[in-house]
Amino acid sequence: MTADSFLLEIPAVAVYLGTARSFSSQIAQQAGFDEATVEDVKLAVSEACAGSVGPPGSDGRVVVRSWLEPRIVAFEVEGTGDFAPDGSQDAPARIDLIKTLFPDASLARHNGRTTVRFTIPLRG
Amino acid sequence: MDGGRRSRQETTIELQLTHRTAGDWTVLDIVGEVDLYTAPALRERIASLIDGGVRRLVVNLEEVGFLDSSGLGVLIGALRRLKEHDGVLRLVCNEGSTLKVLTVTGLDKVFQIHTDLGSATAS
Repeated sequence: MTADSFLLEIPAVAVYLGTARSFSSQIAQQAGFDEATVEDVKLAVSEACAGSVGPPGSDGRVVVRSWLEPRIVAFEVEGTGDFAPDGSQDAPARIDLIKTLFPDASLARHNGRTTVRFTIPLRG
Repeated sequence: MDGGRRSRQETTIELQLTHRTAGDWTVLDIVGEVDLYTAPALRERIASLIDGGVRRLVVNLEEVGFLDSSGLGVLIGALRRLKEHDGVLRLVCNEGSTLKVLTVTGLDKVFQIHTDLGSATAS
């Protein structure tokens, strides 16, 4: 990781979602985004982490990465969850909500791990 | 509404749920963040209220600082269950990020959303 990159690793259990939200909102605030965008980042990262959380009792980890590039801030969430519904048939799909907030969001699966990535353009 | 009867209170780490009566309505006040971790407690409380005969329910989201798709799923499920019993669900929501989640998902057209508790329990 470079000076302009950040990493958070948390146990893949839902109780730590708030930690991921705090982490991502601090990065977004430091990048100078307005309050609405900070809230969008919090929601997108939280949804990505929730989708990456494994079933109860799983011992996996979820990794949140963020880095600054000249014109964007990127966020990436990697875990072992499969983005399956959380047991409620009524809940909107997490990845669809993330894509609504950040249209370039992507979900990739590789070697049993899922990675969600999205970027936010920097102003100016 | 302040004079409503407070009947039960439970606290988890990040979510406080309190319900009371306000005229013909049952008001469920939520304080905290609703996500994958806390949504089951909310689902259980709403199910308990409906199973106990509540048919006119106001879910007060004024003090909800965060609401994700798990929470939306709980609210949609509550609406579905109440409709099955000819009941009514109203939401009170005037906070930016919570209201935005309802809007971007199109659920602002599905739920009856009020900006204050008084109007939600008015009729």
